Amino acid sequence: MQPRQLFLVWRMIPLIGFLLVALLVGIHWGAVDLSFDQIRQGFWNPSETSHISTILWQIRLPRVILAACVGGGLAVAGAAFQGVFRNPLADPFVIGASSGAALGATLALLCIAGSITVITATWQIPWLILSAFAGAILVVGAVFVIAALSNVGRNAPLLTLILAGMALSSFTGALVSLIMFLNHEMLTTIFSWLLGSFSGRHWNEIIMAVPVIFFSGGLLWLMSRPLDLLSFGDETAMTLGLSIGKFRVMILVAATLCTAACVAVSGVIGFLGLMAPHMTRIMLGPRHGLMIPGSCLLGASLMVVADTLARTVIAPAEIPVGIVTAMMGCPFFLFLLISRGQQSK
Amino acid sequence: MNKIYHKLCLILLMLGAVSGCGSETSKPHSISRETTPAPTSQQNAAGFPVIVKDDRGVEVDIPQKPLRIISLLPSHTEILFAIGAGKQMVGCTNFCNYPAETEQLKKIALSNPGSVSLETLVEMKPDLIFLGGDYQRLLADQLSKLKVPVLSFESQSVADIAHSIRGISRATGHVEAGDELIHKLNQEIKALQARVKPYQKQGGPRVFYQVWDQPLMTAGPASFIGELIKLIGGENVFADVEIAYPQVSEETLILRNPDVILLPHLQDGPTDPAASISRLSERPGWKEMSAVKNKRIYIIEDDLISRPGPRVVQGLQKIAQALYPEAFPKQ
Repeated sequence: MQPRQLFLVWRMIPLIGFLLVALLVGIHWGAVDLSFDQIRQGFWNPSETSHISTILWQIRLPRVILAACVGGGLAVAGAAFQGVFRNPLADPFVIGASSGAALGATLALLCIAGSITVITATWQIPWLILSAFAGAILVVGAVFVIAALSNVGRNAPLLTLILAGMALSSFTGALVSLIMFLNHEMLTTIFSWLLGSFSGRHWNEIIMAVPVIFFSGGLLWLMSRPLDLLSFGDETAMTLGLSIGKFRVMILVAATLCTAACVAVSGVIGFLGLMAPHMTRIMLGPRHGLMIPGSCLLGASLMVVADTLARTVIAPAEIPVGIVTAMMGCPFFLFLLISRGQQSK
Repeated sequence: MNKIYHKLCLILLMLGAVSGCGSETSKPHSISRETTPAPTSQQNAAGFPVIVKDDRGVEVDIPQKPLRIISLLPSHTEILFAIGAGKQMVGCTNFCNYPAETEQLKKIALSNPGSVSLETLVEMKPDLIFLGGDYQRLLADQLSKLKVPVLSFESQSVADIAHSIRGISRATGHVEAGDELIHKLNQEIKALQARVKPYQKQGGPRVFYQVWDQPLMTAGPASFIGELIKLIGGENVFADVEIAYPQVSEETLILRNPDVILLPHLQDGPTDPAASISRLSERPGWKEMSAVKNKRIYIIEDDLISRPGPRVVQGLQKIAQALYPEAFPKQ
């Protein structure tokens, strides 16, 4: 590693600090007030059956951790998609992962409502996660197949991917809307799922989703050199000796896997996967070796902050976290854009 | 050339049709709004013609006893049957499942408040349509424009029940039956309140009504169910939420530790309280809740407590039995 890059690693420290602060705030703040003393006591006595330790260990801690992991995962996937497509507008949902997952989850919710209505059995959540995951993989797989079949001159596979993704996204989106419209007693459930929420998520979800997020995110980090090359354009990358097709497919598969795992446990949380990589790029520069872990840290911190707000703003009621990420993220993002524009003048 | 000519003709035809429709619908814009109320002395023996003012403030002139009534709200359907106007009905929604006579009426698919087919409604030649309030405002205005007599009555709260009964009974010629029904309902509600009164302690039992589990949703005090819980002396654990059906924090629920959990029984849903208790106690942190520990989880038929109609007393009794089992000793 060159000395210059070593120097750049130092720039990660504020991000790590931000994440730690966000985690602390997320654990401290909630619908129920917990003082730091109570948190310390509850933290060291996880087996105790007091309300405090139940709330801390069973509800708040898993939720904060899951928010951090999903935020990090979405940000990394967003960074990878932006790199592969060389498109600043690309986000984790660009080739249909979100709409596929939404369709899968909607169908699962419908089936659950058909058989066992009111009460959650523990197996319902895994099933929801699995069908969301399957839906995402199916739709993205279909996008790849369509792109391969159309095979327009072999020069524009990226464009075909994006277009096929858009087309299939609107198709599955229409299916979800149709299901919502025909089952309007399910409207709130599906709608709140489409807006994204960490409400009622426990350790189960973490056990299921986090390994996938870590695995695919790590894979993407390992491929940061190829990503750097790919972002120069196909010709340059090929001249530099990269087998484009192989790496592109691997990156896309890993990023889709990561997105699907995130969406499956949290619903569709928009804007963060688009915003976090851009913000990190402004702070750390465009090299993926730094930008991917940076995006991960920033995305995790932002998601924890957003979820904390979602839990507390109108407590004891909650709002879907997707609303918060968009409302909170947009002004900050615009501010960064403007300030960067002024720097370069 | 021929093709272009054909297309041109088609476009012109379509334009003509559109403008024709436009001019037709714009004319009868506010027929009923400016009519002055007719003096009641004009009424004949059967009480018609009658002018009834609905919740939109629209006064509808009903020249004679309506015999082709359509109700687009399950609670209004129940009211119509309860006051003896069921025989005058021709249609109701596909959600209207009570009383059993609704099976003989034409069911109008109503998957969404706005998604009913206006053509179907008009084709049935109704002489009066009953609708809900704000929820179906758009539909009411559309039907008014088509010169279909429409009365819209809000159906959200206990007070709305009496109000709707009064309006519906006047419009259908069952004034006496309507007044009797209102009187009876008031009496029964008072009797129930009196019955649980001796068992009421300070504040009453803390109640959590779970509308939905994922996301965790409850009924706030602004909702009809929240109103019923309060009416019978229960203390809603989420009484401080303004939204009618809010998504709520699980942490707060565990901290507020409800004494009783009420679950709605939806169609094909589970009815076995034991199974519900075991499922609820599987959720992290719920095992310690008084309601789960003391097995005070009750399933209540959804229709009874979500429809502000004449069956409200049955729903209220179910809630009272759940909250004060000691007031209802088993025979």
